[in-house]
Amino acid sequence: MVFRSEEMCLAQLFLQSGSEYDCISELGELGLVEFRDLNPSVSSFQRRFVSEIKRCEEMERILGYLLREIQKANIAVPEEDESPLAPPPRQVLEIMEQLQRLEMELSEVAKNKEKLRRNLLELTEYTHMLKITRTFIHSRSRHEALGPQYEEFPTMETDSVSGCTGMQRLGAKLGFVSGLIQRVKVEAFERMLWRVCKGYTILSYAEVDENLADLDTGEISKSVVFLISFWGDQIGQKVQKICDCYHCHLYPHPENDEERADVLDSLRTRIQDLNNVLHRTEEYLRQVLQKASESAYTWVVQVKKMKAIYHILNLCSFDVTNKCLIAEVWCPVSDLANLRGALEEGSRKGDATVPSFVNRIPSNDTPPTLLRTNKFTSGFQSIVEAYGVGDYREVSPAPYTIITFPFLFAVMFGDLGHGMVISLFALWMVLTEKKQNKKRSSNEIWTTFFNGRYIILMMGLFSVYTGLVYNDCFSKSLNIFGSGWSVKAMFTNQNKTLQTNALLTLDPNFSGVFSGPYPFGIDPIWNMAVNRLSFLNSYKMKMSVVIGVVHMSFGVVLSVFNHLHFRQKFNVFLLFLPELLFLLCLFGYLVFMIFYKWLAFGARDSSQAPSILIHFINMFVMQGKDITPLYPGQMGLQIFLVIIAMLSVPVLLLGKPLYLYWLYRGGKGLRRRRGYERVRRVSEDDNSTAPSYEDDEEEGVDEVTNREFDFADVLLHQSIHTIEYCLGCISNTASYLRLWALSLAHARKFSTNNQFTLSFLCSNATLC
Amino acid sequence: MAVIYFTGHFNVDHGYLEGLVRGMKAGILTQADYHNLAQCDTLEDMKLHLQSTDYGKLLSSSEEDLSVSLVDSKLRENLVTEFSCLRSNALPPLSTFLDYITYGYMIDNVVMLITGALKQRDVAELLPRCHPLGGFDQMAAVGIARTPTELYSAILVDTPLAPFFQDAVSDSNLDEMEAEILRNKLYKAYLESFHSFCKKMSGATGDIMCPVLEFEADRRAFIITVNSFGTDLSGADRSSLYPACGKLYPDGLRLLALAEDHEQVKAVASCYTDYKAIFEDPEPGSEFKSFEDRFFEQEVKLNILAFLQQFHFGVFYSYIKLKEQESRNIVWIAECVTQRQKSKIHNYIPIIQ
Repeated sequence: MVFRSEEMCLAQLFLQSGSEYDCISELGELGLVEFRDLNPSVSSFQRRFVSEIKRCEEMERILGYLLREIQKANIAVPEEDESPLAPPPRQVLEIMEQLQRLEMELSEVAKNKEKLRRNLLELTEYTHMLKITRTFIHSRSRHEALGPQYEEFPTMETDSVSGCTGMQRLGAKLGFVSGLIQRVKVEAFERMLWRVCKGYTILSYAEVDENLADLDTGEISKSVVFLISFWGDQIGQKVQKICDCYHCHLYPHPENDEERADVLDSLRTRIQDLNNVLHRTEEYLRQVLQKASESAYTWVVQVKKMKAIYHILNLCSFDVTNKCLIAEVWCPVSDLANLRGALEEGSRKGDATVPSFVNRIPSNDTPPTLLRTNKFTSGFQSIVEAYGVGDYREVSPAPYTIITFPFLFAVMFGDLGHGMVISLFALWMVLTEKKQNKKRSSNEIWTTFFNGRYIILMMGLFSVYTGLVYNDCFSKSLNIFGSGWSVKAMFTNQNKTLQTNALLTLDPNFSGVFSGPYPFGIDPIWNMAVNRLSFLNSYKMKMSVVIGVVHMSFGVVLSVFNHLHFRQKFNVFLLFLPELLFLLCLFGYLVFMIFYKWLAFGARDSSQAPSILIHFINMFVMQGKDITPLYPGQMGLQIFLVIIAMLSVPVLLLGKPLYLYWLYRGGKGLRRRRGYERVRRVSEDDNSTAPSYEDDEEEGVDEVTNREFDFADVLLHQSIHTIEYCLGCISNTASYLRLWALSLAHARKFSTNNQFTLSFLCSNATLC
Repeated sequence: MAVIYFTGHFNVDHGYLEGLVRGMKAGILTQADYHNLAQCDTLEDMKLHLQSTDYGKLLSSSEEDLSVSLVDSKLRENLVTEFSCLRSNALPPLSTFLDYITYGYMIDNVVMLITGALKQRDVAELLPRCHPLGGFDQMAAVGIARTPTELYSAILVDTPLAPFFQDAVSDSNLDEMEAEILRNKLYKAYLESFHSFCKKMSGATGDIMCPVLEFEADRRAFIITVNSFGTDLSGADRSSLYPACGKLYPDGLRLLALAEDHEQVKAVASCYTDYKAIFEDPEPGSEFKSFEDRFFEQEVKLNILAFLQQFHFGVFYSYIKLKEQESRNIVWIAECVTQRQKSKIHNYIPIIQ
């Protein structure tokens, strides 16, 4: 972690054609530079390396298909620890070929398998149909066998028979359509059949006991076997159409029982054969996938890197001779040597005759902010970034956050036991981080915790510390050093008082009762005291204000470093000083009063101790002659401080705008531009070869921006800043009281929890 | 009171879906996207560009070569996926509302199947061309019917379209003209029913949906009139096809029934401020746009308005319509790109400026 963001410079890379791919690959592995888009006007599909990117996308598509198949077959894809480098361009074709071959093979096998599976399903359905329709026919024939017993209707019978024969003579014959339909559609199917054919059909159906997979979708569902018998071709066509519409699977209906048995027999053998073949196909498919899965991970990473490289190359522009690519990058100054090394390495790999090289070029653009982080600081940096990223070379607040963030948390969470639990949890995450990193969990909540493991660890450790200070361990006190209070001295021979009174007040004025402060933290005897809460509240409230004011002043002081670094000395006087005065005169004085009260009033005169709040309010209304002052000359000092604070507000509001206005009107300024001019003069000498295509233009732009000065704009910004700062000081001080409030809430919550669980356990025990 | 009740409890049942549909609306292509798409030289370029939008990998995951029809079917598939996601999560009355949206597509499908059957086309060939939003089980059997009565009593009586058949039942043989009339009759009944359904809905749904449906009804009336010129459809026949829930009802419709050429239609439209601009002659210098296109433009405008209010169902209807328009735009651009008609490429209808 550094004090400021890294110093950056704009550099031009001249990448010789032929080795540009290797160079970018090297740079990508290092992750040193940020590329600038040199052809923003060219749309993304008219750039130079679009065809290569398309090829990469094609490969990604095949890989996606491959991975899906591998996942379907339940084969694990082994991941390697090191990510493979981007493949050299000549190897790309090889990978491409391999992938295409694999895809073809796979799709062929998959297609075959699909066909076989479908076949098998059809045959199974057919068998089911045959088995079930046999029962239909049989029940009907049994019905017919019963027929003659109904002596009452012989004429009808013969009538219908003769009718049939009559129709048969006309060329119509009894037709059967049989097949399978999904269970859910049966009712609608039957209804429509009835409506369309006006009842000239007989439909019988029965459910298949087994669940069959659907031919097209592969969904497992209940099916129903049906048999429709009808008269005549006309109705037959309609029936056929209706069957089509309900996606029935139709199978030929056998003429008689012998044929049925034959078909069933042949079906059985064919199903067996198919099962065999299907099994073998699946095995083969598995083998192919197994082989593919071994290199799948490498391929995925390689293709991704390749695509990234071509995207970067698309950002580069060509020089006039088309001999080399020009890229513009932002690079940390300290890494220029590494950059050169990487380019050399890249040119060597690409077998280029002319090496690629780097040129620093001057620029007036604000460079990007680079803050280097490691696994410890990255969590804190991301907390800071949640509020905003600092400007280039601004003081980075992240290093201080490492202490303040966990500390402020711990002030609220102060409990030895809970802190211990948290730190152990975080410690476990830290120790197993390598293993966890590999798992790449996609659980959002878990990754949040895991990424913040160092923050949590720090928070836990700080909580342990504050827990010790508060003397709280699972909201019970620890008596390590022995309490400094003793009631013994008060009641040596009046045992009666001791026995009859439930509550006793320890009077520190009585010699022997208070033998000295507890060596570290709060005396454990407070845990038993009735007025524990009011004591801790007063203590924590004051502590919160002290911490808050110190914290805020620290932040204000940090801004000095920014002002000095950017050579804006006037800001120190016109911004920093009034800000600090305002804060310290009001709230710094409050802190002073807190300390003064702690120091000036002992146990003996504690009854005369004044209320700081009253004094602070009186300070603002400039009254209070009727109450005794804390110290001589208090009134005078307070009035002086309030006046200073009030005076610093107009300075803060108007100082900077007026000064800038004065500068603009010809005042002799603190030369800010000097620095830039010097840099330019120096760099222009060694950059004579670099194309100076933008230099002149930029100079002009710079001039204009420097000249233009909008007083209203500056004043508006400054007034916003002033209001924000002054209100912020007041409301933030109040907000820091939340430290106390949350700390109180935490402690109270767990002590009541303890009470409840304990009393619950006790009552349970008595019940038993 | 009812309004308060409705808005107060809206989010309990429909808040999730409303949020969802608003999120999806944010993915509708903007003017900048269209601008980029219009610059493409091949479908591959378009694919590349669409990847950077919410469509993502929609086109790139297909193995076949790109063609306009593939683009069209993929876009339609995408819309259907989104719609079915909404529909399967919907609670009544939103589910009824969403069903209403599909009925329009169902009517189109039925009519298409009938005309297909008249031309002796195979059902299997016709089915993939039906709009999947209007799919229903009995669809394939539509070709069996010979008369509207048969169609109704045998096949469609079980479908949600059945109530719309009240006026459409007739025993005349189905031919192409009759199928077209059937479509318009069904549509009339559908629009009127949808309109009264929306009107009954408390809250903003009625306020938002009624103008949209009224516009739709009037548009149909205009288009029926214009298309009937030169056919043997009499004015009285025509007037029985006009949906009676639009702004034109009743006076405008009566005038439309009497109209006999384009000029007279224009005269009717000029009485209504909303439609006046649509039939006006284009200003010299500006590109010519057919009045159908102008109707589309107007529709897009109305649908965009639906997103200005909260706690109503109009957003669902509007989203589907906007997305449909977007599909039409993309397909139009794709057609222009493949046929190298760069000059016409800008005739799409921009949705979000």
